[in-house]
Formats: sequence, structure tokens, C-alpha cells
Amino acid sequence: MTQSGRPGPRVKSVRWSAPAVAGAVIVGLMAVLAVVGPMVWGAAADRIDAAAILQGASSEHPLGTDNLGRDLLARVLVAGRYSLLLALAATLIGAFAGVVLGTLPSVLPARGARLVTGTVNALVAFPGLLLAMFTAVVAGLGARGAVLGIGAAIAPGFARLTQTLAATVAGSDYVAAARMLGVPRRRILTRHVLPNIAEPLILNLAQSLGGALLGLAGMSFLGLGVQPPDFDWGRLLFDGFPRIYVTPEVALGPAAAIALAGIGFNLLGDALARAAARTPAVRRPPAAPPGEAAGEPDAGAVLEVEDLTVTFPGGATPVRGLSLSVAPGEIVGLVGESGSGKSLTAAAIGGLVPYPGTVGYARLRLAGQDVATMTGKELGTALAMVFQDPLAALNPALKVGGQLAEVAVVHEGTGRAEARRRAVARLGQVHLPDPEARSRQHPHELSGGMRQRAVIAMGLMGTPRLIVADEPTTALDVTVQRQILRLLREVVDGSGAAGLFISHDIAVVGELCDRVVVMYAGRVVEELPADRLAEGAAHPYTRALIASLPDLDTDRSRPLAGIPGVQPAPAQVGPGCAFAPRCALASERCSAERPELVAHGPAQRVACWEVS
Amino acid sequence: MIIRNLSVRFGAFTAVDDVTLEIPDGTIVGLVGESGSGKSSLARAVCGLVPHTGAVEGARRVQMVFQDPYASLNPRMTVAQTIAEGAGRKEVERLLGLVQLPVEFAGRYPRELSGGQRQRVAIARALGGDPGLLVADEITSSLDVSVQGAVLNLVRGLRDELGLAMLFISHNLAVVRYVADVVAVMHRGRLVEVGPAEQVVGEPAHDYTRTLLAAVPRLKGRTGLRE
Amino acid sequence: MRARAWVRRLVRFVVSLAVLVVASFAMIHLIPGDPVRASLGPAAPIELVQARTAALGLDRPLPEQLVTYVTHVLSGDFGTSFLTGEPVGEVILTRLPNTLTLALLATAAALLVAVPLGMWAAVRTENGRRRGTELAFSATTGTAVAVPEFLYAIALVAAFAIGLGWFPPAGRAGPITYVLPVAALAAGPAAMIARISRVETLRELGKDYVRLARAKRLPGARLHLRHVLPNTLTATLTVGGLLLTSLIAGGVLVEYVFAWPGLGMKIVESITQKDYPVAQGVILVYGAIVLVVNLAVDLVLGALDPTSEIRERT
Repeated sequence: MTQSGRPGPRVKSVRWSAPAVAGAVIVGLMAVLAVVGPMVWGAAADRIDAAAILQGASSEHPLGTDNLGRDLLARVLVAGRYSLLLALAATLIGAFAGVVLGTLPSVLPARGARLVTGTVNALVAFPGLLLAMFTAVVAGLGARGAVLGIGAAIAPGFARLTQTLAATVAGSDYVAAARMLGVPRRRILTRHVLPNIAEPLILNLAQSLGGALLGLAGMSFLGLGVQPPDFDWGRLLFDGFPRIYVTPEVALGPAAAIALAGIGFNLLGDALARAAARTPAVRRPPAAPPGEAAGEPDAGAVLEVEDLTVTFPGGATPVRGLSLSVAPGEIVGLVGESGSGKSLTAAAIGGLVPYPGTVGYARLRLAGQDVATMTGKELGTALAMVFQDPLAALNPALKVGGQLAEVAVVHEGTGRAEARRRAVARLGQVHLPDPEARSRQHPHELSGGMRQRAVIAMGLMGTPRLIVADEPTTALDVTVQRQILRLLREVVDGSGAAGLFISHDIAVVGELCDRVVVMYAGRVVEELPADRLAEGAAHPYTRALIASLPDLDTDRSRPLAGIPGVQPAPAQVGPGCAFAPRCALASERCSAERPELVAHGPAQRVACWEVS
Repeated sequence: MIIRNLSVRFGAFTAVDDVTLEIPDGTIVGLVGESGSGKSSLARAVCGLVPHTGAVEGARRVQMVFQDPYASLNPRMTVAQTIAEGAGRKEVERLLGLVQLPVEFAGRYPRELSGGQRQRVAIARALGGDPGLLVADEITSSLDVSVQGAVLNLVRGLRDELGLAMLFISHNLAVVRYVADVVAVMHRGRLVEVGPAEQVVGEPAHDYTRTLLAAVPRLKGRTGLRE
Repeated sequence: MRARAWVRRLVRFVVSLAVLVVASFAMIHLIPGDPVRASLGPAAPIELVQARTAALGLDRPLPEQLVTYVTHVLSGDFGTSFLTGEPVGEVILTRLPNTLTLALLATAAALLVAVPLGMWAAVRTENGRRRGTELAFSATTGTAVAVPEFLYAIALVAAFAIGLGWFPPAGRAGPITYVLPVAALAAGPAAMIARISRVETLRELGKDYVRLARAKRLPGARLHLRHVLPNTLTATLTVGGLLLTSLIAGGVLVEYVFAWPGLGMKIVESITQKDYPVAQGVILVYGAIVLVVNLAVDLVLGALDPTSEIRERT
């Protein structure tokens, strides 16, 4: 839903890291060598010197000479062109054959398509060298056989890639839309499919070039590739290898050239591929810096947060000076739209803010204790967390019961059998039907609602003081959502724990929670009892949010309210009220000066110049 | 137009089971159901995107707006190119106006737009295909609430302005009730109830509709969800 | 994995095997000109060529030859060498174990070194921390991946056999002779697996169940070994299985460098010397090994991963 936080496609660029630069430089040098090598050293490479046959390294011949007295350094430098050209030829043959094979299934009738796909799948698994040897037998020893063989080895990979890419694009919504608009097949291919698959194909071409070069070198090294009087690096190595016991340096030159070329192409290909790939962000909790105690502790609260700030390098501050407290048996709802900082607030409280974010606070206390001083065991049993996607929150490789029992085994030293018994009891407590059998199943065997129950049961394995639920029902159907919300309420009532419920859905928050905290651009803009939400909300943002939410009584004859503009990104929050640019009531003061959160009636607090 | 005896089967599984539904011009028919109810399969079948049996009669052309505005626009085409595919270059300005986007957006790429703006572009593209029926599949469920309202208003405005027939699909009963004239409730591949929006919500006839209604979270008359 | 998927996979295996046999049969017939003449050389008397052609049955109609070939292969008869007259089946049987041992040892070595290394690197460099370590890791493995096995082999021979004299430079005689070939064969794949292991670990570390385990404050070792490792293994082992097949192929080059008495050495000799029956038999066996390994990987993965159908591997 709105919480996926997916980054939009970004403009790609190659990050010029050191390996990328090294790769580019090496490949560049190889290209230059291929052009000028034979021109400069061609004569020296062919000069036969009967007086200097089979020599080792000397000042005159730094890499020694061959059996005709020819200078090996010159021969290595000259062989670059042939080696690269053969690799290029093999790659182009392979790529062409592969792209044709890969597009055939989309043109052929179903039977033929399956045959081609099956053949490609079978060939992909075959090591290139085996295919190359097959063709070497058929086509005979020599460069032609080797190039055809390596080309044949490259083709299946290209075919597979083309097929997958084309299938992905062809299955996309924008191609479906184009088809419905009656855009001709040909145009769909040229406008939609090809532009979106060309880039990865070209990238693969660059990477295959390195592979082809190594493959050809291998074939020549075995004596199955280039034959005299022609020579490539592999052939030079073939000639030099038997002399390795006496004069190792004669094998060194061609070996180094092959290695360098392989490394260069690989580093460059890597960098290009990395630039093309959109790697998803990964998370990790930082060590929360210990806070200085400030103000008077609230004796009644289970969770006390004061002046919580989450900052990322570059000045982005998604959570700014947030304070809240939750009493035992109370569920506080934290509501806001995507980008409001509500989920990061939950992560900060759980100590799960992703690196490189840093968390600062004046006070962060759980059950009267500073979280920074709590041990892993204390936190692990006192804090229960529930996330949006219950399938992702359970380890797919482990059985449900084992995952629950683990908490007791690790933190309380409970025996395995006893921990399992307790796990089954907790699964029963969250009304999972047949908990004994379910505990022996893997997460994928449970329905979405059952999984979320299991996650909640996991939180109950310890003695939870605080249950943090971050969009726990967003991925669920409404009927299941209601059951899970009921369960959360029951669990909080039963355990006397405090509940912190994070959601984008103000109706859900209003229905479940006792108190509601509304966030906008990293700050709390209003805090009020849930039963005042419908009629008593004071902040213009809260009011607009409620007004834009259709419910079952909304007047259908009038347009639905909306809020113009967008919420500012964390790095773009100005000095004044962050909502001012979208607010109908905003005055000059609002954009210049930020309103503090102040009391508004007995149980309500609002941060707005126009209200208070 | 009318959808007659439409069924969709995937192997042994029947996703849509003999659905008949009428969508008159100038009417928004809201289709509501939970995941796995078959509502998206029905939408795709009506658009001819999945094999089906039965007929879609009376609609000249069917166009669709998809759930995910990030995936439904070709990242390598500008807004103008996208819209022009169905409508032609001359129409781009008019269509942008219809979905209330400024003309300057014509040269932009999808990555430069917000979710709500992308969804407007997708609607403009569909309108450019001169649809006899517009199918909107969960078009607001990946948008923030504050943006959703404007898109829903747009949808209703287009119905009035163009006399569109629209099949509006959503899991959210409140949204469907607000935007649709007729509400159809789908459950396990079948339509269990069809009727005027106020009637289906006010006096539900089918048990499943009642279950669905009872589950909708609401601000007024909150219970705290204690048993 | 469901029974139907197993059956489908087995059918695919049998079909592939049949195609392989036909392909190896076709190989000889695809050679332009007369393979016997090509093998014996232009100077060989016509009588010899004819006699050998008849002995090989190459003068019979093609369908008959195919049937004969298939029946022979099924009964373990791969023909006899042009050069030595030895039965090809026997040659393969004596050499196959040497090749397989090398490949299996190298696979095991690569996995044992690379999986922990990749995990360690992932945990250290998670979410862009320690850029230096990440850079060093990716540069080292990126370089190591790009160097072909025969260069490792030559470098190892030059350094440890000829330079330092710690290991014999060639041949197979006792455990110590395995060290260099296994190292040469395993180096590149190890680097590859380490990279994959790191990426897979990073992917898993970003998932909610890891966040939940962290919220539960599970100790690091338990989190990484019990929760993360099993979920990375599917992908790592898939690639590991594919690597085993490429190791068997790469073994050809390594065997050549170390004059290792395996199939690889034999295939190079037979192709160079145009000893077609041997080349045909060895290629057939190599292909069959690849098919068997792929089948085994699929079956093991199917059993390991509770959620998987048999996957189409890339």
C-alpha cells in the first residue's frame, strides 16, 4: 500500500570507484594495444634470429625468445590484436545467435516455442568449454573451430537473458496498456520492449567479451585453438609452457597478458552491471547513543520518549524532536502518510534504525529503564514487534514453533521441550486453530492472518512491556484486519503491556487506539484522544486528513476533500511549519516560525499558530 | 455495455465463475472484494488480457488503469509520448487538461512525477484510447489518502463530463461506495450482490456483504475493538 | 517439492540424456570429409582406410549406425581407440575417478572457504558501512574471478613446485599431489561463491524476520548461523552446483597443466590426435556428468527448500 517505500527508478550513472577506473584503464590500454601493437612491434615479432633461439630473459629480450629466436615480448604485444579480434568475433556470433534464439519463442507457435526454450535451458547448463570442444572436433583444430565453439557457448546465456527480459517487459502493465490502445505489435516491440531490454543486453555483451577472451585463450593453450603461423596469447602460452621448468619467464608474458585482459574486462563489466542494477536498501540497527536524562520521569508510563531525533548523513532528519509516552494497557496510534517518519520512529524505539541513520534522544525509557542500559535479554523479552508483512517477518526456513521457542531458549535458558510447550500455548492464546499442528509447519503453509497471529504470539513468548506494531494489518484483507486488531487489543488488555500502533490509515487508528499522535514531516503536529478524532481534531492537517478519507457516511453528492501539494522530503523541511505550504489557514508567521506542540484543552496538544 | 457469463479458469482453479454485470454509459460500477475474490481476474478478462469464456458486449473499446503507477508507465517515454500512443500528438494537451495536469508535464518522464501525477497520466492515456469502458483496478490503493481524494474526484468528474462507463475495482468498500453508482460485491469468483451503492451499503442483502461492512474501520462509533 | 515436479524433472533428464547420445553420435558424422582418412592422414593406404571404415561400421546406413551406437553405449561399449586399440570404456573407467575426485575436492574447498568469507563480508559491510572493506573485498574477488584456472595452475606450479619445491609439479601420486590442482581449480569459483554469498546474505539481512530477530535481541552468531545462513544456501548451492559442472570442464585445463591422468588430459590428446572414438566417448561422459550433477542439484534443492518448486535455473 502506501507504506512500501519503494524508491522511484533513478537515473543511472556509473560510480567511478577504484576498481571501475582500473577496469576502464586496462580495457582502454588493451584497445590501444590492439590498434598499434602490430604496427609498432610487428617486424620485431616476426624477425627470426638463429643465434638466439630458446633464450631466457635478457636485456635484449626481456621475456626471452622462442624456438626461432623471435622476441617474445614483441610477440605478446602483437598478439593482443588477434586475441581481442577473435574474442570479439566469438562474442558477436554468440550474441547474435542468442538474441535470435531468445526472441524465437515469442514468434513461433507454442510447440516450437517450448522446443526452443527447452533446448536453450538444457544448453545453458553446459559448460562452455565442453561445447567448444565439441565444435573443435567437428570443425577441426584452428581459430575457426574455437571461435565457433566459444560463440556457441555464449549463445545459450544470451538466449536465456533475452527471453527473460522480453518476458518481463512483455508482461508489464505498460505493454498491456499499449496493447489495449491498439498499438501495433511491431511498434510495441520497437517502442516498449527493445528500449527496455537493450541496455542489459549490451552490458552482457561487455561481460561476455572477457569470458570469450579467456575461453579462446584456454582453447589455444590446449593446442586446440589458434595454430601456427598465427598466434594469440593462448598459443604463446602453449609454446612457452613446456619451458616453464627452465625459463619460467617465457610463460610469464602471455600469462600476464591473459590475466590482465580478463581482470580488466571483468572489473569494467562489474562496474557497469552495478550501475545498471538498482540495489534495494538493506537495514541494520545502529548502537543507540545513550541519552541524557531530562525532565521528570513519568512514573506511570511504560514507554517514555522525549526529543527523539533520527538523522541521516547529508542533513536529512526524518524524525525531529518527537516526544510521546504510552501507559500500561493503553494503545497509542502513530498516524501519518508516507514520509512522515512514523515507521522510523518505531524503528528507533526498537533500536532498528538502518545504518547510517543515527538516533538521538533526551530520554528513551522502557518500563522505567533507559533502553541504553538494558541488556539484550531484557529488551528481547520486554519488547515485542509486529511488522507489515507477516510472511517476511517469519523465517521461511524454520518451523513456526521453533522460531517462537527460540526466544525462551536464548533469553531464559528454557529447555527445548518446555520452550516448545510454551510456544504451542502462546499460539493457542492468539487463537490459532490447532496450535500443536501449526507449530510444526513452515510459515508458507499458514494464511496471512495466521502468520500475523504467529508473529504476535512470538512477542508474547517473553513478558512484553511494549508491543510495537508497524502497519500490522496493511497487507491483510479487511475481515482479517479486524480479527488482528481485536487480537492486539485483547493481548494489550491481557498483558497490561503498552501498545504503539503505527499506521497510515487514520480510520484504523481511530477505531483501535486510545490516543492518537499525528505526524507530519517528522514532527508531531497533534496529539488527542481517539474518540475526539471525528469531531474534535484541531490541527488543519489532521482535519484535512480526516476529511479526505471516505467512509460509509461520506456525502456522495460533494467532492471529496484532498490536500494540494506533497509532504516535504526530510531534507527539505524549512524553518516554519512544515505543513504551511499546503495549509489553507497559513499566514506569514507559519512559514517563518515553527509552532510548538502546546496544550489545547485537557487531553489534547496541537502545534499550530492558527489554532492555539 | 454488459459482461455476460464471463468465467476465467487457471487450470483447475476457477478465478471468475459465470459473472454477468451491466455497466451502462455514464455509470460507475464499483466492484469490491477481498484478495483472491477474482476481481482483478475479472478486470483483466474484460480488457482481454487473460483468456476467458463468456462475452463483453456493447463496449467499443476497453481501456484500463492499473494499480501501480510506477509499473504502468514506460520509464523511457515522456508523458506526451505515452499519451500520444493512443490519442495522437494533437490530443495530448486536451487530455492533460482533462486530468488536470499542467501542459508543462508533457515533456517529463515518469520518474519525475509523484504517484498521484503518474496515475493521472495513466488515466489520460486510457482516455486517449476513446474507451467505451474504462476499467480502474485499485487505482488509488498505492496512493496516500490526501492524494486519493483528488483522484476519486477526477474519476467522478470524468464520468459526468464524458458520460463514461467505468468498472471501478477496489478492496476498500468506503472508497467504492463514494465513487460508484452501482456496487457489485464479489466473493470467491462469484458476484454475491449487486445494487445501487446506498442500498448495498445501507441494506445489505447478502451475508458476505454484511461481514465486509462490519469489518470496515470507522471513526464514528468507535469501539476500541474490545469483545 | 511435489511428486509431479519430481517426475517432470526426471523426464527432462532422460530426454536430455537421449539428446546427448544422439549429439555425440552425430559428432563424428558432422566432421567434413572422411573422419577415418582425417585421422589416419593423407599417406595412409586406401586399404587401411577402408578396413577401418568397415570395422567401425561407418559404411552402413546412418539409421543402422545410430541403433548400433545406442545399443553399444547402453551396454557400456564405447568403441576402441584409433591409436592404441584400447576399449574406450576402459580408458574412461580408469580415468574418470581421477577427474571426479579433483572436481569434488575443489568444490568442497571452494564452498568451505567462500561461504563463510562471503557472510563475514556481508555482516561487516552491511548497508554501506566500512566502504574500505567492501572495496577491498569486491576488488579482490573481482580480480580472482577473472583469472582463468589454467593461469592459477601455471602460477602455482611456477611458485610452489618449481620455485619453492614444496609440491611436485605434475602427476598424481599421493595426497600431496592433489594440493596444487585443487587450489588452482577452486580459486576462481571460491571468489565467485564468496561474492554470491555476500549478496545473498545482504539480501536476507534486509528482511523483516531479521529485524524481528534483532528486535528480540538474538545473539549475532545465532542470528547469522541459524536464521540467515539457511536462507542464503539455496542460491549459493544453486550456483555451487553449476560451478561443479564448470569445475569439471575447467578441470580439463588444470589436468593439462599438471599432466593429471584424468579424462581432461585424455580428451585434449584425442582431439589433437584425431582419435575420434575416444573424443566421442569422453565428451559423452562429460555431458552425462553435467546432466547428473544438474539433476542432483535440483533434487537436493527441492528437498532443502520447503517453498520451492523445481526452479528453472539461470
